[in-house]
Amino acid sequence: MTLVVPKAMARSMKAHGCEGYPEEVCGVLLGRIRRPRGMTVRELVAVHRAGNLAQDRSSDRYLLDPVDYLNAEDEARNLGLEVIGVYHTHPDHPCAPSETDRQQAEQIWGELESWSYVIMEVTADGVSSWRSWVLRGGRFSEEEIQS
Amino acid sequence: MTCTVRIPTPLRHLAGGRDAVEVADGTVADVLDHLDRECDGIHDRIRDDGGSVRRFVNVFVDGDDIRTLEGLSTVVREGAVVSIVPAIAGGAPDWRACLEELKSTVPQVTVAEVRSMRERGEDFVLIDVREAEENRRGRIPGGQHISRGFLEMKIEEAVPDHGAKIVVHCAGGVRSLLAAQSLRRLGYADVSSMAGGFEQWQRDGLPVEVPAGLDEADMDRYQRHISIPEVGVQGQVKLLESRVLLIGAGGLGCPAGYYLAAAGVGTIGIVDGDVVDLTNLQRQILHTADRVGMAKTESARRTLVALNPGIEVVPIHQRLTSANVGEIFDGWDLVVDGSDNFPTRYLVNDACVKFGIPCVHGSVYRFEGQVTVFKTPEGPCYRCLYPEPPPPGMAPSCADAGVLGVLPGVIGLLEAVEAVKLILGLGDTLVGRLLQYDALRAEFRELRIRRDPNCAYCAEGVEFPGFIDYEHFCASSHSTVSV
Repeated sequence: MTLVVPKAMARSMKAHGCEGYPEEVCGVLLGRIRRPRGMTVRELVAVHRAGNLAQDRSSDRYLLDPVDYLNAEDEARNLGLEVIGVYHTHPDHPCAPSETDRQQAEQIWGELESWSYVIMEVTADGVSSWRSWVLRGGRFSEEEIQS
Repeated sequence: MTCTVRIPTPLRHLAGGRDAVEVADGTVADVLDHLDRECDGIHDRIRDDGGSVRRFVNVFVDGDDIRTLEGLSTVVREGAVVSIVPAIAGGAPDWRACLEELKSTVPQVTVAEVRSMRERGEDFVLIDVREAEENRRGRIPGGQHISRGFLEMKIEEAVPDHGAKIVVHCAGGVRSLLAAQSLRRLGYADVSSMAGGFEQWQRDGLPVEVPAGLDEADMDRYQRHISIPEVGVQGQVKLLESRVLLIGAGGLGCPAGYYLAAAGVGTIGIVDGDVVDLTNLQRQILHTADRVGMAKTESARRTLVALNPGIEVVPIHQRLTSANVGEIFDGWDLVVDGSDNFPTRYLVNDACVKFGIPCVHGSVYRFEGQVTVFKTPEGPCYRCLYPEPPPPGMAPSCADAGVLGVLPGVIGLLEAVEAVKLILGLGDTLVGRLLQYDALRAEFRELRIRRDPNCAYCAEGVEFPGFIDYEHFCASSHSTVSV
C-alpha cells in the first residue's frame, strides 16, 4: 500500500495542521486508486479541508463535519476523483493511530480494508512527522508515503 | 416516484461500486428499506438491530441532518437527495489508551528479573528516571540517575552505545514506560521498563541506598553545585564534611569566609584577636557599622551563620601564638591564611608544615596581591620563598601603606577557590605557583616557585626545629593589623 502525495498537497495538509495547532484539524483526501500488480496505490490529487465538530475536546478529538464530507464527495465527483482517505493531526502526540482512531475507523470499515488515514504530529514548531495508516481486519498497518 | 440515495465511499462496495442509487421515495425509513433491498448487506452498516440509524452514521435529506428534522419519519419528496455520511472521527490518544498501548509495545522486566540479571553479572545499564528529589530519598545501588525531563538530552552522554542493554525504572513503572518508549525512538534497540519500579524493589526487600549528608533543604541550597558533574552530591558532602580554619577575619578572611560559608564548607574556624574598627569596613565585608568594637570573630560568625545556618562557625578570639598554635590547629583540614603580619605568617607556615595541613596563602599591598598554596611535600612552604622576613620598612602593613578596598576581595576569593579545589580534589591548584595580580594593569602573572632543598622547616629529612619567638624573628615587622 502506498500513498502518493505531491509536494503541494503535503504543504497544504501541513499548513492546515499548523494553522489549527493546538487544536486537532481534519480533512478529506481526494484522488485516484491504482492497483498495479495487486498493490494498492492511492494518488492524492486534492485536499479538502473540513471542520472539526468535536469543539468540546478539539485538542485531542476530531469529528469531521459531515457537510464538509458531502461537499468533498461532490468535489471528487466533479473532478472525476474519489475520496481516498482522511487526514487529521495529533497535537503534541505521536502520529500513530490512537485506540480512538482505531475504534472509529472500525465502525466504518468493519473487517474491510479502509482508505488512507494520514496522521500528522504537530507541535508549536510545526509538523514534526506524518505517517499514513490503513485499517485491515480491525488493525491499523502503516503504508508508505511517497512525497 | 423516486429519490436519489448518495452512497459514501466506504459503503460503495455494497452498492456494486455505485456512488448513488435511485429508490422509491416515502419517509427516510422507507427509503432505507428500499435501499436494503437494492444493496445487500447495507442495512447492518446503517441501522442497528432496533432499526435506528447507527450513532456513527449521518443521514441527510437535501443537505439537512435528519436528526434536526423528523428522524426516520422525515418525508423524502420526489427527486430529493438522501445522503449517507459516515461519522469520521478519532483523535490523539487519551491517557488510559496510551498507557495500554505502551504496555503492549514496550518490553517490561520484573524486579526479580533485574535482580537475577545482576546476579548473573549481565551487562546492562539501570537508569532511574525519577525526579532528583525522589532519587535523594533512596535509590537502587549501581543505578544511574537521569530525571525524565532530561533523559533525551543526557542519554547520549550517559550511554553512547545505542546497542547497550538498558533497563529504566521510576517509582511505580509508568514514567519508565514513557521513558523507555522515548529511548527506543532515539534508536536504543534494547530498552525495557522495570515493572513496579522502585516501590516494588523496596517491597521485595532489595538493597536501597540513601545519599549521605544532604537533606532536602541542602539539595535545594547547593543545587548549582550538585548540577556540576565534577561536584555532584558526593562533592557537596565532602564540602559539608570539611573543616577550614581562617587565619584572620580581615580583608582576605572576610571574602574567603563568606564564600566558603556559602559553598557549604561545614565547619569554619576563625582565629582573630582583634575587634571591629571603623577603618576595617572599607573592605572587611563580614562586619557592619553597628558592630564596631565587637570581636571580629563574633561579628564574622553572625554574618556567616545568617548566610548559611547549616554550617558551624567556630570563633577563636585569640591572637595566634607559638603557645596556642598546637591546640588551635588541631583537627582542621585546611588553613586559609589571611594574616598580613610576618610573625603570624611564619607561625602559620611552620604549624602547617608540622601538622601537615595545606595552607592557602594570600597577601595584598596597595594595588597588588598574590596567592598560592603551600602544601608540603608536593610543593614549597613559605620559608622556601622567604627564609627570612624582609628588613624594616620594606614590607609595610596595610595600616601603613593602605590597600584598595576591593583588592583583598579578589585575592580572598582566589584563596576561597583554591580551598574548594583542594577539598574536592579538583583541577590544578596553585601548589608550586605564585599567582600575582596587578589591579592597575589588570594583569595576572604566574611565577613558578620550588621547594628549597635546604629549607630549615620542610626539606626532606629535616626534623621540625620547633616553634620560635616569631615576634623577635620578625622584629622589624611588628604590625598586628589584619589586612
